[in-house]
Amino acid sequence: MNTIRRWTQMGADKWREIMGGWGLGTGGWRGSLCFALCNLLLLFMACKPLERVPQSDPDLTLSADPYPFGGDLTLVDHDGNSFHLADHQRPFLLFFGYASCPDACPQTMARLASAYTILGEDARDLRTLFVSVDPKRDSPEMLKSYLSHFDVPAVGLTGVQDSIDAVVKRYAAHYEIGEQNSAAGYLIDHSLYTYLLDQNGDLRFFFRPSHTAEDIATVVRQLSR
Amino acid sequence: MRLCLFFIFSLILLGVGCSDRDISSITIKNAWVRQNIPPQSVTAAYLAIHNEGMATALISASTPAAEVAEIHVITTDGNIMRMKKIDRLPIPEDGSATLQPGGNHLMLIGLRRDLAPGDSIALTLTFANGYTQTLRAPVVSFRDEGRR
Repeated sequence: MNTIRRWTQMGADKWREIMGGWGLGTGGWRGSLCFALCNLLLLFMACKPLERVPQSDPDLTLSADPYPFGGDLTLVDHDGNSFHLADHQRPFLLFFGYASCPDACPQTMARLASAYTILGEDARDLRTLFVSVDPKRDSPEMLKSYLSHFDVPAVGLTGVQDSIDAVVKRYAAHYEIGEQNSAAGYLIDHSLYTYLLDQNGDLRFFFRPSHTAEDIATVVRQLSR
Repeated sequence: MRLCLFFIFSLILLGVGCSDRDISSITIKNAWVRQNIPPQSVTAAYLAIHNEGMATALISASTPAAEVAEIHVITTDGNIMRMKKIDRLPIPEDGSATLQPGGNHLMLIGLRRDLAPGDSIALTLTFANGYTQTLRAPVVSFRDEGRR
């Protein structure tokens, strides 16, 4: 708060200087208005960093420091074995989805496949983790069969509801049962980030659905530098 | 009497003219369907609807390739995508509606056969103004979709 007060005070002084030069002293209503607007602007600027939402760098630069969420996870892989992220010293792309998802999940997988093609040799260590948010319908076998249709070296992960929920929470993600009147049974609304984890399991970038395969390749390449 | 008949006739002509304008005003482009992932018997179809007539709505879709085709709309609420089944997709006057990946789509449920790249399906769309069109939508592979 002291910083804000100091900044607003600086703003006031600066404005008095500028406005005084234009014959708009602080005594006039215009001066007061400018002063008030200036304070509002500064207050806004000072408060902005407080509303920190997970936001990846728009300029496709890998975050130098790990994000304060994400990290280790333990689930069941598509062969039915236990999967601890910490046991794997390699980079991963991770996203949440479900096998009967008609639109977003195959679209993401298709984009990742394209990113792998662009990356070529640069993606030799990179694996993709498809974390199912639909343990009722997605058995390990189902996930294995599902993922085999994409040109992506992917591991399907599932588990009991509580384990999945814990991972979802740790990754600041979200999912919920959505439309239930579809002939397909229920649909699941879920968050759409694809997370990039480095070889230490630290979260270094979020991809949004608007990021292209090229964008993904650009950021992944920075990991090996 | 003659004037009256002429008037009625003109009205009919006007009516035909108008509905004709509406009916012929819809064009559907770039229809395609995503290959499905067996054993999943669902997939999505996409297309662009251009309307040069009065406002109308897409009220149903069907295909012999699937038991059901539903119109789904997507709303993105921050980072969460919400998908809803709707009964009519409004098409504005002199406007368009685009069904595309990550957005609104036709969800095909209960596929009667697996849809492989190179294949195509017939898709029938019905609009609120009575217009119906059947078109063929090619099946697009994940590989080609990723490059789009």
